[in-house]
Order: sequence, then structure tokens, then C-alpha cells
Amino acid sequence: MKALVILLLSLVLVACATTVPPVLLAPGEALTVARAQDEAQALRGRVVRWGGEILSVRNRGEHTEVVVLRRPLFDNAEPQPEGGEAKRFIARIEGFLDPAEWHPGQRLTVRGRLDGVQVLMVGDYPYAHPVVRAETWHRWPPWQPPPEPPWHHDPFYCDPLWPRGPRPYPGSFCW
Amino acid sequence: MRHTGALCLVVVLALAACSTPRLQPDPALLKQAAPAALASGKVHAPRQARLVWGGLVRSVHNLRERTRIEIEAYPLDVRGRPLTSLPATGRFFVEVQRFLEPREFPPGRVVTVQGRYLGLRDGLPLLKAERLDVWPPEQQGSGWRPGMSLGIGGGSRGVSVGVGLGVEIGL
Repeated sequence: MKALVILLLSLVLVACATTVPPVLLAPGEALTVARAQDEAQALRGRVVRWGGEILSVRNRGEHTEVVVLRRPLFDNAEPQPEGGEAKRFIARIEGFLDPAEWHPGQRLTVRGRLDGVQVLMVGDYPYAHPVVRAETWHRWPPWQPPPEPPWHHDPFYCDPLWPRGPRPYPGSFCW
Repeated sequence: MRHTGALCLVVVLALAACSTPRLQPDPALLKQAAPAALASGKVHAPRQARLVWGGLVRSVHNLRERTRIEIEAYPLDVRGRPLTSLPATGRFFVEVQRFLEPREFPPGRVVTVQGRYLGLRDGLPLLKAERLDVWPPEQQGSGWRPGMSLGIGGGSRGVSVGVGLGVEIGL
């Protein structure tokens, strides 16, 4: 009986967990996009794990190229919204990815091998994008700032200068 | 007793000094020409004049070897932060001699530029950037807001009631 409960609970937990491929949790080689731009030939074949914000999605014949602005990753491989080197790379993913589902603002973490650079224009600037042949990847929804922590909701908070200042939250009152 | 009075005076003065509003534009920076005045030709500035302007990013253009940003200008406070609650003072271009990632300068980002005046381009004053500062988005505008809180306390064992008044100063 106890075993059954534990089994059911674990099934529920498994169902709730996001399906980040475990291999993505291991960091790749400590290479930056900037270095991959400078030493494109020498670094061909090296394994990286990069992630960031999706800027555009281009459907090619046999694969899809996703242009990503690199950001630092959280421990669970999820890209952070800000910071890092903020340079662009291309994640080359085999097969067709529907641009109706994949759009800018979503985030992507890929693991794969470097495969040279590809020059794409950003405005009038020829930008050398390092290419990662994606072996494993995970897509994340657009970043949402975490909700305000509950301890900010002090029920006795009172700001007599409101409405000059920002109202802390709806329903706060002064007596 | 006289010492206590002096101490009170010092504390009051210190508090008054702390509460100087920072919403005022910096008078030194106000003396320099505003972008709108230069664009209209009412004011003339020599080429290579050093100017400090700031405001909200409107657009970013990546050129072949440089980046041009169009900015809506606002008066600057003593720390050089644009006061976006005041009326805008015109628009200007700033050029940086390298590629800037446009995603790092989305419309509405608050920036301050120190640069050399290069004349008018497309009807707007153009600065060649010597320094470009980006202000964190969460504390733009006035970061200063006074607050007040009132506390009431009571005790048993010889009835006592206390009233406290607190003044908070956000910097």
C-alpha cells in the first residue's frame, strides 16, 4: 500500500517536471561566442552548451537555423534574461521547426558541436554568427519576472503620501 | 542642556541636507545647448564641443563600422541621470565607432552620453560618443521618495504607551 502511494506520488512529480534533457544540465566547454568568432576553424567540432533569447527563426531545406542572443544560464540550463556577453550565434537544428510555434522572445538552450561561422547582416553590419549543430536542445517560454514576494504584502503597510508614491499593492489601506 | 539643543540642531540640519530633492536638473549641465535649440539653429555650438546629453533610446541603426542611436533628450540631474518626468528637450543622434547589440538598447532604455559635437545630420545634432552609460531600467526617473510611518506601542506593568514617528529617505 505504502509502495503504491510512493509510486503514484513519483508519477505525479515526474508528470509535473519540465522535460529538460539531462545531458543539457552538464556545462559544455568554457568557450565564448567571441572566441568562436575569432577562431572559427580551430574550434570546429568542439562541444558547447549555449543558450539565450531567440531573435529569429529561418527555415532551410533540411534544417532550421535559430538565431540566438547568448545569455548566462541558470543551474537548470534555463537562459537568464540579461547579462553575459550578449553575442549572437546560430543553433542549427535538423528538420523543420514551425515558425508559428518558434518565435522571437522565447529562449533556447542547445548542446552541440561548433561548425564554423555564418555571416548574416544586422542592419548594414556583417555579423559572423558561430554555428552550433544542435544535438540536444530545449525551448523555454519568454522570460517572466518572478512575482513579488509575499512578505512585501504587509497588511499594516500604510503610505500617507500615496497617490504621490507608487501604491504598494491593491487593497492596502490607511486608517 | 545647551549641548542637547545643539545636537538637535545638528540632527535637524543633517536631515534637511539629506532631503534635498534630486528632481532638479543640474544647473551646470542646463547651461549647455539643448538638442532642440541646436537643431532649430537658434543656438550655435562649435564643432568638437564636448556635450553631455541623455534620454530615452528611440532607435538603433547598425552601420558597417559604427552604430548610430537616436535618443529623445531630457534634462539631466546632478548624477547625469535623465529626468524623464520633465518635458523633453529635443532629439539627437549619437555614434559609437563599433557594433552595439541593438537588443541591449531597446526603445525606452535610459542612457547618458558624453561626446563631441559633429554638427547636424538629417536635421538632428550628432555626437561622437566618448562615453555611453546605460541606467538600470527599474530605477529610472526620480529615485527619491520620502516616506513616513507611525508606530504605537503599549505595555503593562505600570501602564505606558509609546508613539513613534519614523521618517524614511530613499536614495
